Amino acid sequence: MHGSRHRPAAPEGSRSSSSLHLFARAAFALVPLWTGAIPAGMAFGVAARHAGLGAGEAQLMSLVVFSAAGQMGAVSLFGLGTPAALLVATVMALNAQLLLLSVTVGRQLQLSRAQRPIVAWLLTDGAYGVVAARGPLSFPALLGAGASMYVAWNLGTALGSAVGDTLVDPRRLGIDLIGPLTFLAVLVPLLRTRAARVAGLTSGLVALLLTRLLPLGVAVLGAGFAGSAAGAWWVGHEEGPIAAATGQSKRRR
Amino acid sequence: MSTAWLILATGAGVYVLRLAGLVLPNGLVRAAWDRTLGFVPVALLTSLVVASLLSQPDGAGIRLVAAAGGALVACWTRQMWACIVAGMLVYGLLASV
Repeated sequence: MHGSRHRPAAPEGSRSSSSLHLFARAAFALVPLWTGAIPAGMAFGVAARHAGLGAGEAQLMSLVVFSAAGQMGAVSLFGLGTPAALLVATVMALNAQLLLLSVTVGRQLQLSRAQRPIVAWLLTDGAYGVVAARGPLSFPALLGAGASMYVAWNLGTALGSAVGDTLVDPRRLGIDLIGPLTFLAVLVPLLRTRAARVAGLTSGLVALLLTRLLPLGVAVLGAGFAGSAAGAWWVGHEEGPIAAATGQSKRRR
Repeated sequence: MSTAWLILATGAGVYVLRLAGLVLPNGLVRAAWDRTLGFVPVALLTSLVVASLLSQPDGAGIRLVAAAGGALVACWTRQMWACIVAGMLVYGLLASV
C-alpha cells in the first residue's frame, strides 16, 4: 500500500485488513452523497433518453465518462447535432478541473504504476474531497470513495433511463430543462470569487453573441475559452505583474 | 461515427485528463496553465447554460425564469437534485398558466 507522502507506511502484517478498512470507511463516508448522486444520475438518464440515446448508450456513458457536467454537456451537444470532434473536445474542456485534481492527487500521494489507472477511472472531486477531509489520503480510501460514487451514479442512470422510457410527453414536463439546470447546479458553487464571476459573465456575453453567428457547438467552446482567458487575466490583474512574473500567487481565486 | 464509438471516445478523452496528472512529472503543469484551466469549467458551464436556454425559441422567457428559480435554489441548498426539481416545478407552473 502506498500511503500519503507525509505518513509512515503501515506495518507489513496489517496491510490487507487495513486496506479493506480504509476502503470500506471511505465507501460508507460517501453514502450521504448518494442522496445527490442518485437523483442527478436519474436526471441524466431521463435527459439522455429524451435526447435520443438508447438506455444502453446512456448507461455506457455513465460507465465510461462518469462526470455529471461532462455527460449532460455531451447529451445537450448531441441533441444539437454537434460534430463528434467538437463534442469530445467540449466535454474534455468541461472536465479540465479533473486534470488539476489528478495533479493534486499525484503531488500528495505516491501511487504505483498499477494503481494509477484504477484511481484515474474513479477520480471525482467529491470523492477526493471527502477522503482528503477525513484522512488519511491513500489508494484504498480513494478507491472506496470513488467506487461508492460510481455505483450511485450508475444506479441513478439506470433508474432514470427506465423512467425516461415511460414519459409520454417529456417536453411538456420541461425535461429539456434538465441539462441547463444541471449546469447551473454545478456552476453556482464555483462562482464564489470575483475572478470566477468575471469568467462566467464574459463567457455568457460572448455566448449570447456567438450563438447568433456560429454553430452552437463552436459558439459554446469559443465562449468558454474567452471566459477562461478573462478569468485568468483578472487573477493576473489582481495579483500584479511582479507576482505573475515570479509565479507568487496570492491564491485569491 | 456511431453513438457508441462517440461515447467511448468521450470517455477516453475524460480518462486521459484523470490519468494525466497522476503520470506527469510534478511541476509540468505550470502555474499559468493551472490558473487558466481552473476557469474553463466555469466559463464552459455558463456558455452551455446560455446555449441550451436559447437553443429553442419557443417559451424562452419561461425557461429563463425557471432557470433563475433553479439557480436560486442551487445557491441556497447546493444540491443538484433540488435545483433540477425547483426549476422544473417553476417551468410546470408557468407553462400551465
